[in-house]
Amino acid sequence: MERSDVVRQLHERLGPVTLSRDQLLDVPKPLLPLFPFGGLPKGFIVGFEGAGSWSVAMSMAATVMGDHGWMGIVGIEEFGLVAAAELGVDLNRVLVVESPASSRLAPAMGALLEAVDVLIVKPRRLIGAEPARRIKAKATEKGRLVFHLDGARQWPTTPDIVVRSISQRWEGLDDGHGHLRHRHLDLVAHGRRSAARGRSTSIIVPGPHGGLATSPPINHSAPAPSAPKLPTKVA
Amino acid sequence: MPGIRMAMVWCPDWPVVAWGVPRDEPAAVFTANRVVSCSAAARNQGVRQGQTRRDAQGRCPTLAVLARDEGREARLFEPVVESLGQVTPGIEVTGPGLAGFPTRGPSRFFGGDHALAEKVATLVGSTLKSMGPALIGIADGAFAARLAARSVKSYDTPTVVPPGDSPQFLAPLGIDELGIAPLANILKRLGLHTLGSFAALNRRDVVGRFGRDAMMAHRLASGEDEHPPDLRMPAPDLSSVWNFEPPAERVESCAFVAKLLADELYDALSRQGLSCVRVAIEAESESGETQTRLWRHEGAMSAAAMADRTRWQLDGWLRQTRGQVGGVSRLSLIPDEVIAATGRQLGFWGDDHHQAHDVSRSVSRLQALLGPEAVMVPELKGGLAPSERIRLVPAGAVNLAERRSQSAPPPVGSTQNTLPFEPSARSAVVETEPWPGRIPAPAPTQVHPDPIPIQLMDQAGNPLEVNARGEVSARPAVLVIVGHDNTPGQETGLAASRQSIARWAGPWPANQRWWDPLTHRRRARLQVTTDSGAAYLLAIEHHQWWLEATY
Repeated sequence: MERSDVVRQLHERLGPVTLSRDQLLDVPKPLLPLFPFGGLPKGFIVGFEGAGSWSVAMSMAATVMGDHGWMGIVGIEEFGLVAAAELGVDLNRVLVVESPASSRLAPAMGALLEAVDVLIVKPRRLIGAEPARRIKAKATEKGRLVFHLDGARQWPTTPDIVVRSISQRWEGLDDGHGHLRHRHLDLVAHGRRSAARGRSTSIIVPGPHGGLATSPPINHSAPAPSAPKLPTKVA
Repeated sequence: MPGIRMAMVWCPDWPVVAWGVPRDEPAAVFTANRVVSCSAAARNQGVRQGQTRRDAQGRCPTLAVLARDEGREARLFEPVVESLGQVTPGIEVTGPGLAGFPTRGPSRFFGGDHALAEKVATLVGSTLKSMGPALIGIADGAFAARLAARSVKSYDTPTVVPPGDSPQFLAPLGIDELGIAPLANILKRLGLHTLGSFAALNRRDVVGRFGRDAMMAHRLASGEDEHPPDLRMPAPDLSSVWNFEPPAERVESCAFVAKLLADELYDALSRQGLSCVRVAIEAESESGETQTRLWRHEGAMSAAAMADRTRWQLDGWLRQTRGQVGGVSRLSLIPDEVIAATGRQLGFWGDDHHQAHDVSRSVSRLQALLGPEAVMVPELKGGLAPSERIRLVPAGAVNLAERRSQSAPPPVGSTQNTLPFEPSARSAVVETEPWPGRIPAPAPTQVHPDPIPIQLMDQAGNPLEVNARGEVSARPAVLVIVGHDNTPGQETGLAASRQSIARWAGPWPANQRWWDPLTHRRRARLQVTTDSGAAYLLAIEHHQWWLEATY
C-alpha cells in the first residue's frame, strides 16, 4: 500500500480534522466580499481604520456573538454602547474594562480572552512585543477574535486583516432640518497570507432593517462591489 | 415510605401576576424571546409557554410583552409567605409563586387538613386581594401536593388528598408532570403515558436503565419525596454569618455580602462533599428582630442561586420594614437540608451556562487584577444625549448569567406592543417608549467622555449662538477643533483642525432638571456633517460649543 493511501485512510478514519483557523465565524452578509475565506477564521486579529469603521466593528461583533457569545471592551471610554446595541449587540453580554493602567492592559486582555468571543481594544500606548505575542497566542488557542479600533499602529504584531473605510457619506441631514439617518461606507480590506489581495465593498449603516446592507459605492468611478476583479492596491 | 405530608400554595402565572397585569388582559413574560408565563386571557388566545415572541404575538396581537424580573417576583411574593407565617413557622419557598409547609402540626392545631386549607386560603386571599388567585393542595410529598394545588377546580375549594392516597392521586396524571422533558419523551415512546404506569415499574430496573435522575423521578411518581430524608444534621459551623458594621440599609450593600456568604457556604459544603437543597436565610435587624426564611431548590443549589435568593429575600424585607426597624445588622446563611453532592455533568458541547461560568470566573480574575470596580457591565436607560443613555454597573453587583434588561432597542421605525402597567414597570420596557427630545437613532459610535471644546462660526466668522427660543443665530459654516488635552489627535481624527460644515440640523434643546438650581443644565444640540463626510454631535452650553460625539 502506498504511503499516501495509508495517510488518506487514516485521515478518513479519524474523521473531519479541522484546525482552529479553519473554523469560520460568521460575518454580516454585506461584508462577505471583504473576506476571502467566506467568514472570519477563529483567532484572527482584525484592525479597523477610518471614519465609520467602528460601526462595522460593532456589527461584526454582534454577528459573531450570536445568541450566546460575549464581548469584551478594554480601554475605550468613548465606545458608543447605544450604537452597538442598535447594531445588534446584546448589552447583557458585554463586559467593559474602562481604562486599565498600561502595565495591566495585557493581563486584563488575557483574562478577558478566557471568556469572551470578541475582544475590542484600542491601545493608547505602544504595547510590548512579548505581551502582544502572548495575547495573539491566547486568541488563537481559545479561538477568540480581537478587534483593534483605530490604533492598530500601536500594536507590534500586524493584524491578520485590516478593514479600512476610505470614504463615508451621511444621509438625512439637510440645511437646518432632518436628522442623520444612515451612512454609505466604502470599505477595503487588506491582510496577510490568503487575504493579502485587497478587496472592497460598499455598505449602508444602519440598513433599512437595522444592521448593515449592501449599497452602490459612493465614488461612481470606483468599480461596483459585484465586480469580482477589484483594485489590488488602494492608495 | 410516603413523603412528608405537605401543603403547597401555588399562585399560577406568578411572573405575569407580579407585573400587576389585570386578569383579563392578555400579557406574557419573556426570557430570551420565549414565553415563560402568560395570563389566562393570553392562554385563551393560544399563547403557550416556550413560544417565541413572534409566534405569541401572531396568535394574540394585543399581547403585552413584559421582561422577566425575578427580583420583583420574589419581592411581591414575600407578603404571601409572611401571611403563611401566622399558620406555621416552617415555611419553605420553592420559588416566587410557590411555597409550602409540612402540615402535621398546623393541621392538628386547626382541626384537620380541610380546616387548615381553608384558613390558609383566607389568609393568602386577603394578602393577594385582587392580584391573582392562589391554589392550595395538601398531600403526602411536596410533588403530590403541588399537583394537587394545580388540579384545583374552583378557586375556593382546595384539593386535599387523604393520607396514603398520593400514589392513587398521581397515577392518572400525565408523565409530563415530572417536568423532565427528555425522560418523559422516552417513557411516552415506551407507551408509559401516566405517572402510575411509570411508578408500577420496578425501581431497580428504572435506575439500571435510566440512571439516577430517573430514580428521583420514580420516587416522585410513587408519591415519595425526591430525596429520602437524611437524618444527618449539618454541622453548625457550616453556616456562614456576616455582621454589618454599620447596619446595611440598602439592598445593594447586602447583595454584595450575600454573594460572599453564598460562596463561602458553598465552599464549606463542597469541602465536605455536600450540597444544599434547602437553605435558611436569617437576618437580624438593628432593633434585634430576627427574620428567617427557608428556600428550597430542586436539585442542588449553586452559590449563585443561594446569593440570588438571599438578595430577593432581603429586598423584600427591607422594602417592607422601611425605616421601622433599621437596617440589617447580621445576616446568616444556614444550610438547612443537605444531600451528598453528586457533581454536575457539563454538556458535552459546552452549553450556555458553561460560558456564563467562564465569564464570571474571568470577571473575578479581572477584579483581583484591577480592583472590584474595574469590570463593568452596561445597562440601557432613558436619557436625551447618547452619554446619558448608558449606565455602567460593576459586574460584581449583578448576576451575569441572567438577562438584566431587554437591551436591544427596537430598530428605527418599528413599533412594539408593550403596555406598562405601573410606573416601576417602565424600567424593563423603557426602550420601547418615546423619549421626547431625544436625538433620533442611529446613535453615535464614539461618545467622548470629556466633550471637546470647539468653536462654531457662521460664514462671516462670527461665533454662533442659540437664543432662548431655540433658534440658531445664523447658518453654521466653520467648525474649529481647538484641541483636546488627553487624546493624542491622530487616533480619533480630532487633532486641532478647521473644517467646513456641509449640512446641519437642529437645534435640539435640552432643558434638564430646571427645578433644581444646582444641577440645572440648559443645552442645545446640533448635528453637522463636514466636507470630509464626518458627522458630529455638537452642544452649546453657556455660549461654549462642545463636540460631544462622533458618528
